[in-house]
Amino acid sequence: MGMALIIMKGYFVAVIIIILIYTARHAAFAYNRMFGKQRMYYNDIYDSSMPSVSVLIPMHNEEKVLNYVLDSLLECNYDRDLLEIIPINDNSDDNTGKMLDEYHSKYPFIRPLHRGKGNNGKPASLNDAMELARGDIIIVFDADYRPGKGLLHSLALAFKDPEVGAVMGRVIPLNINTNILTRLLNLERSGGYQADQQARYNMRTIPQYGGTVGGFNKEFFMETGGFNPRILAEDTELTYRIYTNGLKMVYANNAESYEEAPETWNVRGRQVRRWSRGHNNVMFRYFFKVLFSRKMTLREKLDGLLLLCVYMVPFLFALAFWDTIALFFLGEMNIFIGWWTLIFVAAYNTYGNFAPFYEIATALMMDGIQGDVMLLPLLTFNFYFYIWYTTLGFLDAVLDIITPRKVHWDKTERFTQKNRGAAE
Amino acid sequence: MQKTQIYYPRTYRRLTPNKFSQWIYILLIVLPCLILLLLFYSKISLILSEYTARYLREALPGIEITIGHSEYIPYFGGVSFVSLPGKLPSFEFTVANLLISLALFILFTHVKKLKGAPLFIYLSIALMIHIVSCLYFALAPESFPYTVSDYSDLYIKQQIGMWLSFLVLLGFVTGFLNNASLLQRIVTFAGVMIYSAVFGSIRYLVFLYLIHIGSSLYMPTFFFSLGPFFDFLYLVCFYSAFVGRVIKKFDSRKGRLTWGWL
Repeated sequence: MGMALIIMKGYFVAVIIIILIYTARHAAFAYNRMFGKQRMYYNDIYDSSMPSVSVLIPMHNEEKVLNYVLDSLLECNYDRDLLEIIPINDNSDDNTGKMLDEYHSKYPFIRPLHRGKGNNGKPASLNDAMELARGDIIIVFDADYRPGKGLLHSLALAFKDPEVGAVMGRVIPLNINTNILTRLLNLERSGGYQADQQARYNMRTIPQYGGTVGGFNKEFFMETGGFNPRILAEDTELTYRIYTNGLKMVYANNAESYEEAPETWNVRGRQVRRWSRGHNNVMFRYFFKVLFSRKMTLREKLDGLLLLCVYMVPFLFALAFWDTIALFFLGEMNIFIGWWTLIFVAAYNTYGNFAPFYEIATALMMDGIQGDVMLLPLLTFNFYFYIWYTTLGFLDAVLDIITPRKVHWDKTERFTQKNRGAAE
Repeated sequence: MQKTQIYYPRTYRRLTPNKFSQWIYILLIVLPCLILLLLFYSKISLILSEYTARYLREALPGIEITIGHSEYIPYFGGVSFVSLPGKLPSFEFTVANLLISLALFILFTHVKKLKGAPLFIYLSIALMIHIVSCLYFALAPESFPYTVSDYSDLYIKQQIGMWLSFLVLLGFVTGFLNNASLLQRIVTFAGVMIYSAVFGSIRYLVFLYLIHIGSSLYMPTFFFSLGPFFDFLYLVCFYSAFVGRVIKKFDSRKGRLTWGWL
């Protein structure tokens, strides 16, 4: 029993230390974004020889939203001789295929790829589309995104720098005022991009490729084997592949694109679970590759490892939470544990979900968002929500590693047409 | 849906730190408050315990309520706490609690409109803790390791720990954001500390009363679900209000001059 108690207390203290490291990391990001020198993206550069671009848009039953993304792309000011758009109709059973063919008949540079039953999901779709793509640069959008007019030009410009393997733009929710959830997601997105991604770019650590509103070098990607269909977080995998191969990611804070945020907790929960599953899968595969990489700087390695484990921490947390309850009933809730409980609570609230509250506040200050800052306390309750779904995702990832089960893509539900129908 | 205006200025804008002002604030305001709290927490805990004991004596006539003392931070002194007798729950009371908690837990986790929402996940976790507590008291009530006085002692120590932590945390937050007015920073700093003192004291009284009346069965739930978690909640509330004011100021005609770029 004595040994068990030592292990339980030791585990608890270890988790506290991990959380404090993450808290310090995010505090450094918040301070850097607020007061540090900002590293600019490749702004105000004009080049007459831009690279050819293939825009890939994976779609599975996207009839509700596909016209928005395609119409927005048609408005883009990128030279059409250098542009092709490949919407990937991934085994849809609604009108997606028909609608895409109609677009193709009007605009020949929109070349849909129709995929039937078989290996479905985003990574496999992208692999197939890549075989078809003729551009030097691949830019990916999800079907619910609305890129701005100059976005393609802005993203493609980064690849004039030979060190750049991928570029990531900023994602902003479009349906912010729908309900409390969408408003909270707007806060999180603001914290995640305006503060977190920009600070990581400033500090030359690891800005993350987010799978959409971003692009990558096709040649590098094909040479390194394409996407692994068993990994749901193909974006995170690409980020680490780029760094372990000696290339860099750049973050374009001014390259904004608009997305549809989930409008129900259930949809959001499933999305977070899928992210956690995919991210942890990458963590299992890349932890030692990053640790022993000879092509990454010490700073990149350190932040890279912390970023890799970010979806595992809530699981460790959940365990530590039950660990403290067990210690309580075993009579070990003495002052030592009492003190640590306090730090534990404070730390996990500051670590929170994707960005702690002070980092979000920093981002809101930079963005000049006044009213919704008062919603920050609600994020404290979100913490339990994220612990729950992230832990489920972690357990999914563990099962993916130890069993040969197939990974299925769980598409995020769209709301645009539903809302429009309700309004009418 | 296309944006008509590109908010370029927000992309790379930032604040210029005045390190001298930041550290002056920390050294002249935060540090003295921290020293004062360290020097006087013994006395504060005694006053708090005496007031709590006085109200409890009125609410629970005939019960022996005394002031206990225990060691705390070396060199800074111990703490005082209210000591009163407690009771273990009866088997029937425990089972009734268990059944109600299970029913609520099933409701929160299975009703489509409730399940998955953050508030109900939080409540479900609180119920799970209470269910564990019920099972413990149903199976081995005599081996529960704490008395009400132990809980009271722990509460006071944790509360003082919280005040010390909040003082440091808020001190740094308001100290570093020196572009806000001095008055706003001091009001936020003092506001959290005063609110924390009032909230912590009232909660102490309520918890002791409820644990005495309702038995030790509720101790784990109070400790884990309504403890530091709620303190953190109002800290973030004050912080949000502070940041809201700062944002308003920075986006006013005059405040815009505060911003720097790159």
